[in-house]
Amino acid sequence: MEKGEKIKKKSGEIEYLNKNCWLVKNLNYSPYNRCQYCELKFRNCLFLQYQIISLILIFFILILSFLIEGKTPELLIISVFTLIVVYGYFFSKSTDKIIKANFSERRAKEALSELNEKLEEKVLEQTKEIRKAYEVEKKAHEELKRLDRAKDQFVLATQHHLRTPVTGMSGYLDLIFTGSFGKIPKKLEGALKKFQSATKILSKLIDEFLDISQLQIGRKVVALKPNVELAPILDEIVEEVSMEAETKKLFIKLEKDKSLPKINADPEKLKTALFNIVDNALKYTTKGGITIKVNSKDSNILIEVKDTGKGISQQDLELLFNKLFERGDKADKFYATGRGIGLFMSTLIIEAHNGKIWAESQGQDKGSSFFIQLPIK
Amino acid sequence: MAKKILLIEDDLAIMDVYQIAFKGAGFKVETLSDGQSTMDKVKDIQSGKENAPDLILLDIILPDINGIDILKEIEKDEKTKDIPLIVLSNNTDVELKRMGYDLGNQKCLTKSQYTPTQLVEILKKELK
Repeated sequence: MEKGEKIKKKSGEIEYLNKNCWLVKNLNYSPYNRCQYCELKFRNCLFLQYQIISLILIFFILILSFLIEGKTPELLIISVFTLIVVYGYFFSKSTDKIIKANFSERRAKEALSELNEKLEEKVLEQTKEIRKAYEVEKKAHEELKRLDRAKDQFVLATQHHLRTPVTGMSGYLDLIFTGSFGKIPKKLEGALKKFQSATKILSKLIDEFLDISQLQIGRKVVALKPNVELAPILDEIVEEVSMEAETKKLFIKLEKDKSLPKINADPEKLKTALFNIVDNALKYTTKGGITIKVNSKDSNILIEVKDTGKGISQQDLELLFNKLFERGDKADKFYATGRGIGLFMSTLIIEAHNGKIWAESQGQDKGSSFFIQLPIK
Repeated sequence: MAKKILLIEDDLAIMDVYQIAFKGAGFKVETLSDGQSTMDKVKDIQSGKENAPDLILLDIILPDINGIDILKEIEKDEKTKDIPLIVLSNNTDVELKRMGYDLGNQKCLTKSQYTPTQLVEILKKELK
């Protein structure tokens, strides 16, 4: 027999019911209700059909008995008996169907419940796994933080421990050369100068090494402060390199505007950055000299360090400001020639001042110019 | 009259170098080498038991008390907060510098980057 079926409107009202469900109207629709509802209709419709068939049969038998033989009680009894048998047969069939329907509904419910239990178990299992993974990740994160702190502490302690003896050494050398311990014996003077020079190199290397170590662990190396005057920084640089320039018979000139605006800067770091550039210019110049021009334009200060040295090829110019650690095998070459860490550090420091650095050169043996642009505010 | 410098430095070689340089330049120098005695000194100045120096040179990393704590102590009292102060360190940690700036200190110098002669020049400028 065809199952009860319905079609519902968008509003939820039932629009159509098939022959097995025609008595029921206006039921709310849901997939579950739909099953329940159709099963119910199926049962109701079977009973109704059997009742109608029974009435028609009684009516038919009664007419037949009147027409053919008049009122015959035997025939009526037989008819009623037949009716009870027929009715009983259909009723038992319909009951079977209802039991079957109930049985399949119970099985479906059991299967659904089993499925739900399994699903719940799976969810619990997965939750445990996720929690376990989270705990592992949390521990790893804490361990990383601990290592990070240890690395920070190591770099900070290293700074202090490496720089302190060098400061003492260079301090005593400075006192010796400024006459605090009397006149230096001539035999000793040359050796002491070499000692001083080596100490300066050592100090510079320690500074660069420590700054790069700090950068590698993600620490900033620049602390900007307001109202910093650029002129004294440049004066100090010129003073510090003038002896070397004199030794190499090179000129060093500083041309600056009379009143330069103050800037936000880390004076020590900015001095290191500018010193590296001037020092490089000196290193690669054998004739002529270095001119440092400083002027303010619009909202920037522009510093040009121009040398008459060996110049830079176009190929090298492109590589010059690439970050040291991105150069791969070329980094060794740059470091070996002395143009590497210093310029790399200068670039980072200038950029940390929100400034720009670039270089220009007409090519080999035609000198080069390094430009540093720093914002006034 | 010679200006009085209070030098707080835990490294004896550096302390010796600075003392020679400063005395050579005509300054009167008083030295301390740890945090606790510095703290006591600051409190004595604040209570009026001792005269204030003309300038303080403070090493930020000391064996017992952090130099930042000493800076805070100096900054909190009227009698000590206006004394010219230069923070010296061989630690270029940016956070330390920033803390120094935040506490009103405008001079944070890395010791290894200045010779004693340069430091004397800086002191003379500060004391003008």
